[in-house]
Amino acid sequence: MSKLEIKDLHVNVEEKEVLKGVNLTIEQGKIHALMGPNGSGKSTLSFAVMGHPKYEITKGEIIFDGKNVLDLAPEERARLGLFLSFQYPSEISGVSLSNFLRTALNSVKYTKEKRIPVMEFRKLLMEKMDLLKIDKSFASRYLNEGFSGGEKKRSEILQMAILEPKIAILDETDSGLDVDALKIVSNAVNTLAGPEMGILIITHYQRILHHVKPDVVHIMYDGRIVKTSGPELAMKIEDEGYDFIYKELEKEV
Amino acid sequence: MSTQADDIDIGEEYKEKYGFSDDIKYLHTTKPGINEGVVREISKIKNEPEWMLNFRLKGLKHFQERPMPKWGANLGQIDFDNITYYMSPSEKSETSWEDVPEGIRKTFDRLGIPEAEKKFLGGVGAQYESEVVYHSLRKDLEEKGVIFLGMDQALKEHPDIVKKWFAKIIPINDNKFSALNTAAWSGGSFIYIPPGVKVDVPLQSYFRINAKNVGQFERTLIIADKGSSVHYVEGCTAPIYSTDSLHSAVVELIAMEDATIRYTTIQNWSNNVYNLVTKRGFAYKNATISWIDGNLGSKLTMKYPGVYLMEEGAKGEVLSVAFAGKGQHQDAGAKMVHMAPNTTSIITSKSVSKDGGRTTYRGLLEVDKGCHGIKSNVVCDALILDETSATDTFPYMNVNEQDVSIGHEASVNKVSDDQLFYLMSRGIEQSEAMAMIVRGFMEPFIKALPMEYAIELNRLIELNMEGSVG
Amino acid sequence: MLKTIFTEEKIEKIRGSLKEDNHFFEKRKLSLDSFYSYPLPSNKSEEWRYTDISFLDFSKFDNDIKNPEIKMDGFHDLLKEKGVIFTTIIEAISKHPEIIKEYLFSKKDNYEDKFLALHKAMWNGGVFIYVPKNVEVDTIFKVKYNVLESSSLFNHTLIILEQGASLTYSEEHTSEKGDYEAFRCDSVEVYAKENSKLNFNNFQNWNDNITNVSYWSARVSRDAQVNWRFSQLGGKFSRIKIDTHLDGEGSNSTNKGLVYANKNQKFDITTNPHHHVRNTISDVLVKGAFDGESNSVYRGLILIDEEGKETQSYLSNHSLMLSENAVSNTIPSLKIETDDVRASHGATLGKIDKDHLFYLKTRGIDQKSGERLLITAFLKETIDDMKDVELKEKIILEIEKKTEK
Repeated sequence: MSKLEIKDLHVNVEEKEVLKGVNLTIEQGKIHALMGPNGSGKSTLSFAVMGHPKYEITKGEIIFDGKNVLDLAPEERARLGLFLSFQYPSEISGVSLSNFLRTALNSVKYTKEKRIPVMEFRKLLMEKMDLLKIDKSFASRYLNEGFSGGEKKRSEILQMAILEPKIAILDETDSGLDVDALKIVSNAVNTLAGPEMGILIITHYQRILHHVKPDVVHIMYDGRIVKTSGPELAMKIEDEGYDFIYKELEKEV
Repeated sequence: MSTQADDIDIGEEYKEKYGFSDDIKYLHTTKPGINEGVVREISKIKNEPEWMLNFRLKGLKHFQERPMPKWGANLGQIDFDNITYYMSPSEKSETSWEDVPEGIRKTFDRLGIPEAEKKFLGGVGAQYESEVVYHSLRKDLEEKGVIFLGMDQALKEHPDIVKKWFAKIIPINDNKFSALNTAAWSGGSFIYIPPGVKVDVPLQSYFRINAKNVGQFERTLIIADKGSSVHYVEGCTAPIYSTDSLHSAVVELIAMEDATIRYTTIQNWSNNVYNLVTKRGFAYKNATISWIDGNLGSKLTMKYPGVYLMEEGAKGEVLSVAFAGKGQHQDAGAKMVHMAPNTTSIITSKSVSKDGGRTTYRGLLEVDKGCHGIKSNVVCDALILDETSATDTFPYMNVNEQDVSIGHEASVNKVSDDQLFYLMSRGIEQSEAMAMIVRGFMEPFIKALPMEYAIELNRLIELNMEGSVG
Repeated sequence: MLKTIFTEEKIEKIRGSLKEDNHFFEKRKLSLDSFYSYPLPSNKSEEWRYTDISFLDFSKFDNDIKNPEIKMDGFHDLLKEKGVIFTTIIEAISKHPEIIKEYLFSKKDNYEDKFLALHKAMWNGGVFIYVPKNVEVDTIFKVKYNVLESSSLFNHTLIILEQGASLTYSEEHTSEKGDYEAFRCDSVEVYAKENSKLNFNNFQNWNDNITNVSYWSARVSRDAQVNWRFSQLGGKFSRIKIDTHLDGEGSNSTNKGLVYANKNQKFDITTNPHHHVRNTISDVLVKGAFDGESNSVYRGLILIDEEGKETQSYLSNHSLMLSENAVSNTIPSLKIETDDVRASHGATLGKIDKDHLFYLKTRGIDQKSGERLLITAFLKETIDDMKDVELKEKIILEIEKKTEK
């Protein structure tokens, strides 16, 4: 069983410490939710796990399947089975979504010698697009260029569906989605989830958690995970906001 | 799309594929340098009419009197006295590859020209140094009255049409290098498309420089008569030498009423060739001229394909990409002159510079007085891949009319870290991610090419991108 | 002809009236030599390719070199106590010769042309402003120039802001109507030290008897900011070239301006931001409305040196063509020597939008008024953020007046 372990992770962004010792373990087959106010470091954690060069790890470890991934390039982490659904996916002109996905799939799941046959890929792509109710014309459109907010998020989930990672981090996947789009994306996540995939849903609000039931909920505050509990924690935050957490923290201090 | 990223050095690859040279016996070779004697000698070898000799001499005079252009790139290193202006490898232009001298035939075989001809071309011309060694046209096109000949042959067989249009689009004194071409010209293509004839397969010419320190001065004239259309493609390569060669062509296009000419260039000279080319077309009523101009090779290219929009409804288009690597300067652009009302022009320029290369966009958009209803749009995008490379944009807009709608946009970018990271997070290697972004950047150009060329160009970009990640 | 107008005797005379010492006199003589060594610019040189100044006839201007009428406003005692100087340059030369010597024509770029050389030889009036460290000037320093008679005029404006200083400066140019012609050859020199901020506002509304060739430049140090605003409405011919040198990291400059030309007016505007170091920002917006048989040139070159990484530079130029006999030349250029920059320029040329006009008409506004509204709205964008609100309103009023001509 695959496992992503984050141990005492400290991360600097432009010389400012944003993560101040994060501990978190995500197993395949489980859905975790990471919540917390804006600026608490949630997105930083996702970029650090994926290896963005701007995020400097000053201390700690990220271990995936027993292997420290800190020295690995982002594409190597992707090949091991890590996936990040971006909050703000890049737009890349001239590169069609289908061409991009085939290249990605070939590098993640195939080898230079053995590539996925074009027809087989087309079939796979159409199947997954159906699942996500994505218009077929998207395949020939340029990567995220001119996509609406909801279309970008669906394109991210489509990529997840095709690359079938072991651990997926969904960074604010629910932001910018209307109710219908949120349902489509949530259904897709539920379909993809299962014993083979571990998911970390990063969210500020609770909306998506009505559709995707987490097994564990973590609260992040000021660069640390300050509380971990069952799904009832998300409900509590929905009712009371983050204030009770702040109060608990003050007490501790 | 290919994703192989085998570690081939571009220099090695170019050497193997295009950069080889042949040991050829030449029939005529003029002494290095250019003067009246050399010009008369060329004319005599070609057994030309008197008027053409006079043209040549006028060109020579202007070339000698005109100072070097002070603007633009560095031309100071060209040693005009060390260049051989005329070298002919064969007696005449053949119509069957079997009749082409063996050494030369092998060269074109290696470059894949006869094979391409069989597969998808309507006609082929092949020039080796100064002379066209092979020329053929598909039978059905010939029967429709299409003429596709070497320029020298056309001068003999169709002197009246040649005389009528020769140097009419680009006058002898247009610039120093068009004057030099007029003095020393040899080879090039002549194409005439009769009224209403649509040529649906490309006609191609391939230009090859083989010897050292040689100058190639082909002269091309394409006339598309009323309602006709043609797509002409030219490619070019040369061996790699440590000394410089000079390529200075003149290309004149005439698109009569309702005619369409599309002229595609894939310039891939070796990095020791100065490529100083003058290209211009006249577009008459409702006619369209498109220049699709890809500059990948050469040491220095200075080329600004132009369209003079002569009559109402004419349309001009320039779509160009430039790729400047180590030691290269691509100074390319476009010239659109609106001389009639309700004419349209579009310029799209994309350039990539890396390893210390420099790209320059230089363009002129002119709207003459009284030309109402003008629409023009210019977009120039430059991508810089490392800190030692550079780019310039110099668009001139000279507008003498009120009723116009003109837009110009230019931007300079580097490949953003976020874009790279995004692709890499999906398992794509950094070098492939970089190549992917560059290919995407050039996509509008690649789309405009016939399939076979698009594949070739993608491959060339891939090669140029090797080792570009730092 | 020129040799009888611009002579060493003239320089002697200026020296006498300004009571300047030899240091200045020697520099004037050298500059006069340079002036004569440069040919009169013609369309052979790139900078003057689209500007024909062969009409320039110095014999039309009175042989004498004079000063325009000058009014200064905004200075008060508290500022004086803090060490702020706001005075004519003539006065400054006797009171503060050392500062003037240190800064005058001291910028490092060596740019010079025939007219700037002439200015350096003949300068004899203008304004000097010095703001000491960390002093924020709370009023707007205003200068009004009015040309009264035929003459050649050489005003120099020298502004020095020490570290952390800030200032808003406005200058207004007018000329008396009359049957005479005058020539102005001015220069503005700005030194903005670390973390200082200058808002420079210029407005000229001369009668059609003025020919103007001006050169402005600024050196902008670390984290400093220089905001140029110019509004060019009047004159027979007016040329301004603005060079902004972003010398220090974090420095920043905006260049915004408008040109409104009609009849036979000629304008020639250049705005060149030079990014010498990393992390510098410039933003250029120039708009022109061209009527009658006017002829205008706009050039804007973004220059980014090898050291200029992480630089942002934007340039927009928009031209509104109001007459089929008007001519507009636009040359926005980029010259970039490194990567990791964000630079772009955009230019548009067009006529008044028919849909906009139609919309106004459906609301009961007639053609002429609609056009007036749209021209003013179009030009106004460049001065919307002008700190001198009084001047801004005046400019808008003058634009509206001009639309009625």
